[in-house]
Amino acid sequence: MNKTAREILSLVRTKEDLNMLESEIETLLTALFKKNVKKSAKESVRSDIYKILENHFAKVKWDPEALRKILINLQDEISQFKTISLTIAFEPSAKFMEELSNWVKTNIGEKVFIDLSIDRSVIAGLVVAYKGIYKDYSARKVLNKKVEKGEIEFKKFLI
Amino acid sequence: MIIEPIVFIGFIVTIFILGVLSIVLTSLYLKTINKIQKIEKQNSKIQEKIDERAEKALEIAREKAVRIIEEATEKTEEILSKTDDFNAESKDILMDKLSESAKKQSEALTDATNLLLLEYKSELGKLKEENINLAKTVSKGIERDILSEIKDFKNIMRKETIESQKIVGEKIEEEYSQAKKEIAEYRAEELKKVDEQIEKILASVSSSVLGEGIALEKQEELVMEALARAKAEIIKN
Repeated sequence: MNKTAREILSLVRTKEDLNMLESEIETLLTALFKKNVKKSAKESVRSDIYKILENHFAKVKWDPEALRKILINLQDEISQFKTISLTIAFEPSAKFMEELSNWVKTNIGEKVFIDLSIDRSVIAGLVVAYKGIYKDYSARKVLNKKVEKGEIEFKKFLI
Repeated sequence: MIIEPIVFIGFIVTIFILGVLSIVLTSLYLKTINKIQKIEKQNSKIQEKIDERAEKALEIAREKAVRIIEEATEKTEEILSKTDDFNAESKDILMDKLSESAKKQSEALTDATNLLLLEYKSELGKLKEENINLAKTVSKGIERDILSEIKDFKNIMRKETIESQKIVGEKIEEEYSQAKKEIAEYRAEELKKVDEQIEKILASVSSSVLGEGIALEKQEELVMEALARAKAEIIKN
């Protein structure tokens, strides 16, 4: 993986980010035949990705073929990525999102993206799905067990 | 309460059939009465004709008898006139006697004819009266029979109606019991569902409330703890 591709991929933290990047790559690939490649790139991708591309072509001319290679490389890399699905009970801050992403990259690997969902009924904790394995580490599970055992009966609160 | 459409239609069809039968029987009764009246009129006409013919026949018979007597008298006169043994005086006396005898016979025959005619008329009158009485009796008999038929028919109709009402009543009762049972079952089922839903809603509400009650820092901490557990249990494998 070349440096530019790695930089671009470092911006992707979630599944949504990944989907958006895939869409942008497709758009840019179809716009490469145009005369003004730089302009096409600026119109097809987000500004932070464009900045990385601009840095790459700062010392050399905007070459459609060179850009195509970067994009194909990115597509190859993305196809090798795995997804970890995480369900939490709250809206995460950007800081916490970065923390999660770093944790994933450190503990699982660089080529893993987070597919994050928010479900209030989780109460607290986390529900994880990775490589076809599902695990529920939520407070909801603990509560449901107590309800099933009859240790908690919600209806009595109505009376 | 809802009556099953088939039972209701059956009830309506039965009433309709009984109504049609009632109309047909009444129509037959009226036709029979008309026929009897026609027969009576025809009978009267026939009897009148018979009277006329009988009178004519008697008249013809009487005339024939008179003619025979006259012819016999003429024949006798002729024979006598040819006989030489009789003298004129004897002839006159005999002729007178014969004329007298013929007259008496003719009168006697006329009387007998008149008497016979009177007796015949009297007999015919009796016969006519008997016929009328017979026709009246027959008419009354037919009327009685038809009235009896109508009465039977009314009884059958009443019986059928009561039977139909009974069947409809039983059917309604049966349907009502079935519906009641189904409603009770449905109610129990729905109450069970409502109970379950209440549990779910309360659980969901409680979860949300519980979740809201936990501080963000604590939430983040719990997520990271859960990730650590996940690493140990699934990610390393």
